[in-house]
Amino acid sequence: MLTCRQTAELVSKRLDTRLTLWQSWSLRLHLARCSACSQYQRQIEALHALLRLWGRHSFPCDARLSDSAKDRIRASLAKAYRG
Amino acid sequence: MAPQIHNVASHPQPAQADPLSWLDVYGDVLFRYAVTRVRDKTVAEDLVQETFLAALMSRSRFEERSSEQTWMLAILRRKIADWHRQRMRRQVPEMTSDDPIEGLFDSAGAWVHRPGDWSIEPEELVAKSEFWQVFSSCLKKLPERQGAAFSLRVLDELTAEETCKSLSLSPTNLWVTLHRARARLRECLERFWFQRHPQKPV
Repeated sequence: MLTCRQTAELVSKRLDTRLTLWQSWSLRLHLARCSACSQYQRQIEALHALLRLWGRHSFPCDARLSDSAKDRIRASLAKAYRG
Repeated sequence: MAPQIHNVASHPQPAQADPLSWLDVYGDVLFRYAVTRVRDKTVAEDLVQETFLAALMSRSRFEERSSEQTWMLAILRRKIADWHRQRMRRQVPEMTSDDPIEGLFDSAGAWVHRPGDWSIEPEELVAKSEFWQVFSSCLKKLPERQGAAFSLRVLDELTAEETCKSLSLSPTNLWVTLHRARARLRECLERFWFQRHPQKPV
């Protein structure tokens, strides 16, 4: 029987790799019986969704390259292109 | 399985823009993508420049199956991963005593504090600027390696293998790193947002 600590580890690991049959069976068994760990799993899923939302919203969608950066990039691109 | 028929005529050839016009066409898109991930304007500008230069060098290998923008974003993603890796090399290894998992469980491995209820509509939170301030400051508190791994994996949607390669981590190291990143970020949000803004029962 997994402890909550081991379960939290597998909840995370499952998102990055395929668990062994034994691990995924023990995980399912524990989650079915333990509402605290189920809650943890939901929180971690929410965390991923929130990070993706943050990625989309944290920077104003109208952030633009500054004129000075554009000049710099244009010059280096032209130099490399024309050789 | 039925053989796939590639009907070239049904795929309009994406126009390949003149490299000198790339800046006007893709500059801001690439910049926004980069700045969201590296959180630094100057670094983002440099990454955009490097992306264009790399694109120029490998222009002959551009496959017209993808759009030019997709191709450039793929180059930019590699540049961002390289940037993370170089930064990491300069980092002092993280202290093992700084383990966010340690305080969460008692000696029997049971929760000390039961995880709270986060039944949230993420879309509802989008409008709450206070929440995103808390979220940003929690993200910033992640140790470098954890933040980079989590961001590459979730924001850039790299596979676990690609993330390992980008950060020169073994798979086991990556799992431990991501587990800590998730646990730490969760703990921070729980303490500084969700416990202070209890969710209304639905």
